[in-house]
Amino acid sequence: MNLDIYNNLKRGVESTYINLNPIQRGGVLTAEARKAVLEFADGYSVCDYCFESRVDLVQKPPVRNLSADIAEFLNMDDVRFTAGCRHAKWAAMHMVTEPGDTIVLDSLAHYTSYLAAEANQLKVVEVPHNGYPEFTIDPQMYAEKFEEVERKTGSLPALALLTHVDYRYGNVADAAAVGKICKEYGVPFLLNTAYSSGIMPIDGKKLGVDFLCASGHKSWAASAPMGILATTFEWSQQVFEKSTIRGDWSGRGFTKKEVALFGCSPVFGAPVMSLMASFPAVVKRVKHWNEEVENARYLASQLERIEGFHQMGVKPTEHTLVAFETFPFYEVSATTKRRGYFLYHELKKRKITGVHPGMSKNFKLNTYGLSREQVEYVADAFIDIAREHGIKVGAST
Amino acid sequence: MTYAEMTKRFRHFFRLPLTPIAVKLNSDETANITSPMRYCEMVRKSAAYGTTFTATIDDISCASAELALGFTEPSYGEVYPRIKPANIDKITVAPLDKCEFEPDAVVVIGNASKLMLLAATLAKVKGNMIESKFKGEFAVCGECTAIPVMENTVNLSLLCSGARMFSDYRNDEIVFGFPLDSFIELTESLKEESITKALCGCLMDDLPTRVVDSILALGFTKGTDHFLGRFKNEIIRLYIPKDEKGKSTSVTLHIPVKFKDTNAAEKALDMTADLFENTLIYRRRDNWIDVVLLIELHESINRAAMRGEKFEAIINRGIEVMLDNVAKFKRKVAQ
Repeated sequence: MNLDIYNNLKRGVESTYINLNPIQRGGVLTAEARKAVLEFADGYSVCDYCFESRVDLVQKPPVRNLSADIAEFLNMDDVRFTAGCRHAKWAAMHMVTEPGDTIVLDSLAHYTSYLAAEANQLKVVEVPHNGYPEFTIDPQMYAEKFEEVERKTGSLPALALLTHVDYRYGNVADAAAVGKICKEYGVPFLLNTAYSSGIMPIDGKKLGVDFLCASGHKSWAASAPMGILATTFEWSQQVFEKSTIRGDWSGRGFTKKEVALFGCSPVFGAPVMSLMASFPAVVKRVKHWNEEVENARYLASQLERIEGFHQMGVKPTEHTLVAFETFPFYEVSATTKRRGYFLYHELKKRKITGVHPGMSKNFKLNTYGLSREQVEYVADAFIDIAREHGIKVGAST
Repeated sequence: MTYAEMTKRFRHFFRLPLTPIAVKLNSDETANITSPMRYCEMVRKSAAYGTTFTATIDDISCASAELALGFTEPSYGEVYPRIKPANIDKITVAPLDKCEFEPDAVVVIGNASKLMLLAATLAKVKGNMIESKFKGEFAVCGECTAIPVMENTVNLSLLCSGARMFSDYRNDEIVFGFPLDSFIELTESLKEESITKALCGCLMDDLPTRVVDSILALGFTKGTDHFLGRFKNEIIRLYIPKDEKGKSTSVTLHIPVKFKDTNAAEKALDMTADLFENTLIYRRRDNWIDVVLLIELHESINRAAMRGEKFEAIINRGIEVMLDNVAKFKRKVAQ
């Protein structure tokens, strides 16, 4: 065992670089959160003044207030913190479905949506997307799938899950339309907002959501692992059901502990405190969503000046996560020593990181939180790389 | 690779609860058996508890093992399988991960489903069938030790009644014996095959390899959800749509054409209505028009792709149609 490898741990990504990593932009900590993380880095450090046996009820630091404020911010009734969005999905499924039930989900869903279903022994029925090049989900297909499930199983699905913004193309699904269909059919509606809440305005009631899952480390400027499960009063008791188990010999019981959260939300230190410290900034930043989208559209328009570059998904993009086809870069990669890694290195030279090493045929970027100057710099960098490798670049429109 | 590393890799790959056993004939170790035991019992105890046993003929309580392991010559007739000549005076049985000698044979105990996987992997490595000789007698000593040593071949045994009755082998256990080189060759070849090269570790479609290969052979490369290729001066995208039931019986070819702005794209779209035959579909997306050709295969993509030249001809014809029409379209809208 070589223990030296655990010394002087460094991330290897310079803080001065522009990071375009699609999963990292919304999770960049605020300065306040960075301070809070250090302050509350020790395990169970949030529990100094725990008088209620549950982290979500701790009043100093104000975790209890944070739960209520986040519920208000999302226009939901009740909130708990979870070990990531995936845990929130698992918990909601676990508490409102039975093994063997069927759920309907969009075919662009994150793999953890499928795995959460699998872990709960649920069957999944997918709502198809419309294919290349847009890959959009038609809300009406949810109704069709509900009826198909009812025809095949004799009952409606136990749950419908929609990925609000898909991780592959950054398309913003029409959650309100799906919510409306779910209400009409009486199917509980779970919205995965990993790429939306915390960076864009979300109103759970308007969207007709029963369960809203969020990712603190993806979109709320929080440290990992941090998730949020928000629900309505209608479901709150069922989802956050208290323990009823008793020790057969000792008679012990744990009646304040919530089953799906292993008693007490598993975020006892840095994650929940980073979420708390960033929350004021998050409340403000969602008001600037349109500017963020404008930046992404600008980058897409600039990259599409490069011959053969083409933005996939809905156009113009409605989100800061954007997927591009970049076939000419792939052709270049065949002629360079670094092969597919040439783009990664060319960008690194220009102090840009986040495009996955080895990707040149197609890749995703996220511009969230970058200033216009930074976005312009990124656009210029791509155009420079294209020109340097003999790829035509059209005029700026 | 050390024996400890080999053991770890082997057990992990085949999910074996018991450790492979190293067997050394005429070892230099000191005998350590307190009361006589069967050889097969030593092997299983060693595999289960990690004990090392070194035995002389006096420590072996089974006459069959004495013969099979070459401690004694048969008094009359021939016995098969056995170590010949019978010049063995000591034998050591040790867990492979702890052994500090070079084994003559390696014995692997497992249930049928795990050793089936082992057999399948071994057959791939060897490139042929696994031939085994067994008769339900002289199992661990003869079939899994003597045969690998004397014939330099891997052998499978269904065990014998002695092993099952007296030596604690479970009803579902069977045993493989390996010459050392075969064991090393197999272990070094073990790789956890990744089902996908995708960065996210997910399979993004269920296209069979042969379908992908047939499309790649046409000059395309595979993206995440579709294929791309340069033909003449156009990049053509090939996508395999699915119907609501998940069936794929068509292919679409796409060339997105860019315009200065949305208005220009809108005007160009208006022109397409009365310019061209209905072979192609024109769809506006912002300041782009996607030119799409739908190729109906009238059978599943899996079957169509197996038709070799016929499939190639269909797609190549589609590519020609795309190139011709997009060239015309660009000329027309540029006027």
